[in-house]
Amino acid sequence: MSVNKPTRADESVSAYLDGELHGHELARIERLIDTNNEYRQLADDMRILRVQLKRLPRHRLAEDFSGVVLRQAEREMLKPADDDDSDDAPSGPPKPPGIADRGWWRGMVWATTAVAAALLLGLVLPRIQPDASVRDHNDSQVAKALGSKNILSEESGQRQSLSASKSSESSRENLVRDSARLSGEITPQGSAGEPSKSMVVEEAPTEFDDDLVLHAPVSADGASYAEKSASIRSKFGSKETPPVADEQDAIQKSAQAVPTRAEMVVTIEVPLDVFRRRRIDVSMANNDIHFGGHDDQKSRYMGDASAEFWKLHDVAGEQDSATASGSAPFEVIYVEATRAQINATLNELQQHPHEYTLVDVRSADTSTSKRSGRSGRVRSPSSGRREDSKADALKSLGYVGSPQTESLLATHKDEQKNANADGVVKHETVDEQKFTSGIESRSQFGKAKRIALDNVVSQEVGNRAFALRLQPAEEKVLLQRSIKNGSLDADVSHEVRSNEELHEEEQGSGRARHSMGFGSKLGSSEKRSGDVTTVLFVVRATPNHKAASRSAGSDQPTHGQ
Amino acid sequence: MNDDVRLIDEALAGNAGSFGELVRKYQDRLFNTMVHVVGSREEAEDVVQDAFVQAFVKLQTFQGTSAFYTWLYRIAFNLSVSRRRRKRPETSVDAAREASGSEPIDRSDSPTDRIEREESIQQIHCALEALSQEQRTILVLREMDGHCYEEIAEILDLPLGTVRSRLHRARLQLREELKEMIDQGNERKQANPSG
Repeated sequence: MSVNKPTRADESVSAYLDGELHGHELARIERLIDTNNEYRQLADDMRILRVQLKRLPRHRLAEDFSGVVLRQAEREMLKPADDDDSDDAPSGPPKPPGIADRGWWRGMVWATTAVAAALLLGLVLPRIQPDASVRDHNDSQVAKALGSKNILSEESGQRQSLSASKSSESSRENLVRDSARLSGEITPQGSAGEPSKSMVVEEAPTEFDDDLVLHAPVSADGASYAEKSASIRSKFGSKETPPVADEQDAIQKSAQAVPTRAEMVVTIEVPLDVFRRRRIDVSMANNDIHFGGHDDQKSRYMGDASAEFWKLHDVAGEQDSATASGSAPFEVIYVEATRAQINATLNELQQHPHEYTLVDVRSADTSTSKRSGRSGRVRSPSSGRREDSKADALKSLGYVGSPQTESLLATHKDEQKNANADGVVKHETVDEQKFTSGIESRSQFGKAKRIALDNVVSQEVGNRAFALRLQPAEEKVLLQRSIKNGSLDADVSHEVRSNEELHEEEQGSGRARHSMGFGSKLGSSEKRSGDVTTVLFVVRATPNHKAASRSAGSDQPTHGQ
Repeated sequence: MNDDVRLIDEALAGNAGSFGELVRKYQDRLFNTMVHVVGSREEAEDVVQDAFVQAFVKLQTFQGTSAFYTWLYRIAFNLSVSRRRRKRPETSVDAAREASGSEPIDRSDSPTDRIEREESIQQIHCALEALSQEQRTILVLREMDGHCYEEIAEILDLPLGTVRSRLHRARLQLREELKEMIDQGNERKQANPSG
């Protein structure tokens, strides 16, 4: 009956679930839920909603957030009174005269600044003077404000519960600690006298070379990464490239689009869900190959890698439709890293045969590019001596004589045997046990950039270009081209300009991050230069049931369906 | 709560570090709430930072008649409203993705479970986005932050009855938005009553 049907007005069900009902109303709603299906259903639905909402991930701020707040608060208090035209604090009871008035307090702050500065200079500064040069003007203001605030508390006698001696002595110590911490001179655990990581960042190790760290290797025609990138940017901006017809063309095209030549091409197949989840980003991050920069071990493994996933989720998500229409989504990741890193990454991928299938490892045909001065070209997998190419490629990666080499080559031979009449290669997974040997000598250098292929950007992303925000320059280049082609609107154009600036920042701060994390481990530039290699990871998505069949123990190939 | 009072006293006595402790104590809780309320991590971080700064500057006006975090929440919500008036909303899809959380991937789940979980998170975010700001705010305060009706009433400066009715309407609206997900949940429940 309508009398017992829950309506929008009957909020008792909500209140009941929240434990906010008592007495008669509680009994009434309990009875209704017990006897009336619609009420029971409503209560059940709301319980499900509650569970789902509670499952949402929790968001957290950086641990040093409090320092940022205190610093900002001190600056806020030093602002002229006219600046304070907003008051979002809830209006409470009447303020005690003279106490709650910020102007009064600010006046006191300035009046006592000189005393605080004297204290700072006389008692404190000698301890932190070696680091004082790295402070900015605002930090000294903060220190003054902190000092004056301490004195203010003593002079005004507002909180008698704390003794004057405690206030003066501890506040001096606090002043040192807080101001130094706020200015980044000490870590929460460190002392004012010892240099922190952030100080190392300020002073990059002298053995660092920008080009080597950020733009290694130089392209075949001698142009630096930045120069080449700029050149390609202008080229893309002025010339429309025809759509990519198939994967081989795309690979070749992407190799040409890469601003530096790639020495290797590694083709990997992943189930679609793994592809969408950017798991390969994590594998690379595990081996210190980063899409950007990383401040510490924690963010390297979790923060940045997962952030990358979210940024690109829409791109990959859009590609579901491409899979349904028969064209497998794929992407190309350009990696600059040491051989040891590439080696370790490949090993790691091989340890997850249900997620990754290493299809091919080849040397890029760089002889052509050297002659022509163009970017490296990739030989088609269906042409030439694949087996030799693969062996050579593996050797160049340092697999010579290793069990990995034997296994990969054996697998490759099996693949050749399993190739059917149509030339479709059937894949066998490599014996996992042979790849469990330790990942040796994780290198101290590595970076990766994702190459957004023409068809991915223009056809799959379209106006959802925000999905590519914060991505490397090549994608921005392609975005610009899309704008030129009219497929993106002006707002995105603004975004792209912002990204250009951002990229500059990334490059600038990237050096600092590297120097902070690994600066002491890096050897000479010659050593790093010789050790670095460039690899294109071609990552192809396959339908998810491939993984399912493998995990069920099936050896039947499913590729090419 | 006594701990908060002590920290406030110390902060007012000149120990900025004590206020730093208060910040550390509430920053994540407030931030998590504000991310869902404003729909963007970046925006939420700004709001939370400004709220703490305001709280620090106005700390003398805090009379202790309510909990510190209730007072802090009121500041934060006032700020978010002020900012919203000044600024157009962000792209909702972008915001929803951004608001999807920064927790590490749980490798213990199977790939299928993980992807299902992420999809459901996205659905919930989109559904929350579809609610009005008022409904979303009250729902977040209750369901995610666990505030009781009285606290919500105090934070949002609303009568208790309004809190109750608004919360109910928000849930009904969310139920509509997530009808498919709820149906699936009911099906699972019927298939496995003990679970």
